Amino acid sequence: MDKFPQNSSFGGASMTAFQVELDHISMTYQSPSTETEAIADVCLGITQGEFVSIVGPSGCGKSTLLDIICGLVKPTQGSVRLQRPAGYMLQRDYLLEWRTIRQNCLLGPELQKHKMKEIRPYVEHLLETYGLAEFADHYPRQLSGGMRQRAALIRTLALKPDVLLLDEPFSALDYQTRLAVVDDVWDILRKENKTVILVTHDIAEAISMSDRVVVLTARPARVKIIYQVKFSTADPPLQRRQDEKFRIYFDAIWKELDIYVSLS
Amino acid sequence: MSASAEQSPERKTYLRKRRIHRVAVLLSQIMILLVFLLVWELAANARFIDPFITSQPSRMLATILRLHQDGSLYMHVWVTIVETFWGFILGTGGGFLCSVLLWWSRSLNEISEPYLVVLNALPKVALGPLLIVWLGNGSAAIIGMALLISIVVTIISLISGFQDVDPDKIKLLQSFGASRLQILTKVVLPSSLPTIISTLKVSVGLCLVGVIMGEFLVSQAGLGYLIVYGSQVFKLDLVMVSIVILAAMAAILYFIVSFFEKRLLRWQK
Repeated sequence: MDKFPQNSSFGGASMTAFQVELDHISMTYQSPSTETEAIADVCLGITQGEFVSIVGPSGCGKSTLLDIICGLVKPTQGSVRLQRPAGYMLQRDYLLEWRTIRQNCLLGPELQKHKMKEIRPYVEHLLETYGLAEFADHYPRQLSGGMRQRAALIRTLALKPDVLLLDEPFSALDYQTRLAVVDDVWDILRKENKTVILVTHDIAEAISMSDRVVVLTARPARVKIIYQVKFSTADPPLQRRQDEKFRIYFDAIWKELDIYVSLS
Repeated sequence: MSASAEQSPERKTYLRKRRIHRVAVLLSQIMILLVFLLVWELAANARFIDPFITSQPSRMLATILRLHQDGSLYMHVWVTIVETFWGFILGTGGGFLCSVLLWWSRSLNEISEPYLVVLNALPKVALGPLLIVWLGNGSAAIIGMALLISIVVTIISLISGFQDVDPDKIKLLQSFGASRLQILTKVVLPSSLPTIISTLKVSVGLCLVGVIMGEFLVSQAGLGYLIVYGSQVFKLDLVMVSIVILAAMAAILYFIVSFFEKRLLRWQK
């Protein structure tokens, strides 16, 4: 098992050609009553096509980190380098109820004033490939949770982002749907060869999907340790859960988180 | 949603019961009105009540016919409709623009808050005499009254609707690099549509209130004028007829807004 301590050469990946680079990110929140240090000096480099998960105790600033990577929030210190816009998937699908699935999927290009003629065939192709073509003219409320999540993913992919940021995108789904949707989304992202940063509190989800798992400390978040997750084959998440290595990774990461919880 | 051919007996019973219930409700509603009118008519005929001050359905019918024949009925109804229309357009239009402005600028919203609260609590009729002095003894003052009554409520309920929009939906649009104008038009306004329509429903009623109050004060034409005039010369038939027509007008206005509601909110169904 490969472990990398905090900030050692951007967490183990080679120094060359990072697609996403977090350079000494710190974030401090101001509110009338107090000042909160959310993130302290986080460095991370992610290469093209890599799937990186960020786990940490709840409230440690994982989502803030993702907001910073996306460019929605300016870090107090440090900088982020990546090709924008990055695709962002939030905790719920947030499909707009008054738009059909197709109109929802075209939201990004529409907002960026892309030429619809050029983007439409691509979105139609995505809808077709991922089994939503016959539901394209339905409204979101007519679709199941899993299908809605897939529509949200297509909406994110429509802009052809190089990098996808996923903020616990499965947390609103029930457990069975969730396992299926994780497989589904993982499969789509692999096929599209995207670089992915997933924020989650679910260790099993992180291990089953990622190439690397970044463990953050409690607030203020620092990189505690990075695990290189290696399975024998490129198995989909559900099968990875049955691999004997899965337990080992799980216990190791669990301990990293647990130690901190018991200390605080 | 099963086809009618393969309806189970339970479903048939259920549907029949439902239909019977709905017919019963409708019949009861009509019966109440008919019985009320009949008792009124008979009681007046038998002099249990004095038709000089309570009027009676047959006399009201005669009054409507007379007003219809000399054409003044339509003139008065038209005046009230036109005044309500302009009060509604200016009140909701102005209120809408103000609430968009207040959504756009948080500081402006904070600054205006105490003024809105006081204006909302102030009985707008108190400003009636001022309006007459400023806008003259005519339609302008009446429209001003309707505008004043509807605009503050419109602003307050619209702005709270705008601010209720899920911040994560806004975050989603920001992640696509949306401008503030795009956030307004693509998310805030569409998701506030139910609020906007319920505000219109309230506002159309309030405009009618404003117009009638204005006509009470200024009194030249319109249903409000007919009511005041009728009561002053003790023609209670005229007062009652005006009230009935007013009720019908209010109902029609409400149904017009409901119609648009159904058209615009189809995605909810």
